[in-house]
Amino acid sequence: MGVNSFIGEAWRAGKSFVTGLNITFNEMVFRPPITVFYPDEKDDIPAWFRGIPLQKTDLLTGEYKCTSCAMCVEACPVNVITLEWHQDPTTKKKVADRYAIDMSRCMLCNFCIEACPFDSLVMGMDYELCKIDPENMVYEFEDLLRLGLKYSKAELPGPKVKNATPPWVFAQLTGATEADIQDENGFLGRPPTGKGYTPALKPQFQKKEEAVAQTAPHEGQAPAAPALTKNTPTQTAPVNANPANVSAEAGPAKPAVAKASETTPAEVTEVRPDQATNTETGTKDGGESK
Amino acid sequence: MAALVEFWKSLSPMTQTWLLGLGKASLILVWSLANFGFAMVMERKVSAWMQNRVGPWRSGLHGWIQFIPDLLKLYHKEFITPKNVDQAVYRIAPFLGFLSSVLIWLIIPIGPKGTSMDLDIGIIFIAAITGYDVIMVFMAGWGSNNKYSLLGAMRGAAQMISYEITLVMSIIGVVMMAGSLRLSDIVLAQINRGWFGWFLLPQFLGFIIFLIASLAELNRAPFDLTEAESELVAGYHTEYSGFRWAMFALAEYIHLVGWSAIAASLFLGGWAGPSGSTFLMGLGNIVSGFGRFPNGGADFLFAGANWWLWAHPVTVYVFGLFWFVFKTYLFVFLAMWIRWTLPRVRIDQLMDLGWKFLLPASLFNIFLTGVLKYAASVWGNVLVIPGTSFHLLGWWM
Repeated sequence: MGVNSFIGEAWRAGKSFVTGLNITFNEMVFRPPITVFYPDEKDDIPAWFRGIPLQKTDLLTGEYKCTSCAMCVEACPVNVITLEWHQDPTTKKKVADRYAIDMSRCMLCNFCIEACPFDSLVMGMDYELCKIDPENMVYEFEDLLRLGLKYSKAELPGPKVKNATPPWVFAQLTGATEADIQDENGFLGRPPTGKGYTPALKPQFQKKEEAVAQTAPHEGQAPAAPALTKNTPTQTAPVNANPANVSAEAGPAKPAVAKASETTPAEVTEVRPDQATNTETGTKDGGESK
Repeated sequence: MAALVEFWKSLSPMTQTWLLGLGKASLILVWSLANFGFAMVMERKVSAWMQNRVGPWRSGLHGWIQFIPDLLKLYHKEFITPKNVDQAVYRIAPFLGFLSSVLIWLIIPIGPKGTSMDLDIGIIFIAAITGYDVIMVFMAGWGSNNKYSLLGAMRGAAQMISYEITLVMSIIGVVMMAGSLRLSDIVLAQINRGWFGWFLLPQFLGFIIFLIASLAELNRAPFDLTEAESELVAGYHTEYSGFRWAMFALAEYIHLVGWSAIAASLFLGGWAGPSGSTFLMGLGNIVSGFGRFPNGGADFLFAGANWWLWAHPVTVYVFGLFWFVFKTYLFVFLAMWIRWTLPRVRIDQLMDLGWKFLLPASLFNIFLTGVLKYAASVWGNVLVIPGTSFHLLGWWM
């Protein structure tokens, strides 16, 4: 190594060294930190964020949109969706008894949302889902409906408009406001009514006299909405079926325990997947039944 | 107060010596630990700022007492002794490293006459106790009975022994200019030379070599080959946990601050502040060749502006401590700045740099200093810019 290359190498090393120091110094002095102090403040979530699959409710009628078709159960690659249903004898429609997602094993792949033919599922942006007990990571139908309220929207009655808000649009685009998702009357989360029955509208969408007639009988009731409480997991579904209820001024009957007991056992012939020969739900549903 | 002095005088010289020694030792220990705390949080903060983060934030004001919860956590942790380690060596090693890092503080002048032991072989003493560090690293690596530890220790021993030579060689230039190995003498020489006369500029080559060599001696990035995380799990302290691991961290940061203090004393004038008087003195000295040649104007300015020599001793000590700490942390920051800028070098690059580059350069620095000093004393009167009193060799007088 000659003296020239010795000095030249030292010069080049020193130059690149100073360049590096300059970069870090500029970063230190002139760039503000990008830290978000998480528990105190939360960063914005992108619209495509995948937090938890949730069940939507039609805010106009208060019915949940799930038809228990089990497409999501089929689509789920990790088999975390449990679906139990029975057929309502009057409306001949399937009513979900239990719809649960085991979030401890859900991988948030969005396949269930893509598979849903009725735009019932939505990928919510709630991400603080941890529980102390892993048992509590199973989100039941009521939890999914309650969390899904803010992603739901009031759909106008009548034929569906083409090129309307597509099913994969999330909360910011649905236009749901806080007022829309208040459920003072225990209105939301009903099973869908059958064909030919006019769905009762939520009070703010009704005409005035209807609304008055409707809210009156509910005032005496308990404020808690039975359809959305955790204590009644399987009893949320099976009501509001008989035409007398709908046509009468009682309007959107509460899907309550009391109502369920009113229906005589002879009328309800429950078709449970584990009892029946319904193999698809029997094999495909999640870890709960296995 | 008077009673206290009376009591002190009534003690036997032996007792006085012991008490004084204990007091100084406690002071040094407290001082080192305080510096450890600050330097550790500073390291995390500086690295965070350079990476656009905020660093520790929750404990204390903006996380500046983070070292207390850190040390408490490490104190509570389980200390695991692996089965096949060499028990005695394994257990002693961390404390030996801590010892050598604290011992540096014995001879550092933090003010006028502010040294615990004003050894006349100051620099040699530092070089000697740094030898313990090599032993500590090798004891930890050998005693752990682990291939990663041993590899780290082998690298560490090779690196530290090579760079020790370069380090001492780079200091010799300063020693030649100051004419003493004693650190307080070196500081005083710089004060006499004034602001521009501090050894940073006349000994710039030596300063650069000292900087690189001391980073290598401290095992800091970009020379952290002994604990290269990506290659050896944690190097020589792979097998350590709990507070014995914390002793390594303590030693590392106390060592860092100690080396920075030495660098400040050697090259930046130690506890001397850059006051207006020293500025003028330095300016005048460059022009006048440090008192060798007449420089009436500067002498007048110096005498008129030099207010602080007559200031109260307490003020001098306070300002001295302030400037000493300020300069020390300037070097601490420089070390951190370099650490968070440069990637790690390879072991062969390290050895090349040490033996083929820095050692010849430091020898050349000694040669240059000697030649210039001789030239300045022989031809100082000759090499003057015509028409001025600017002596070209004024710096090396």
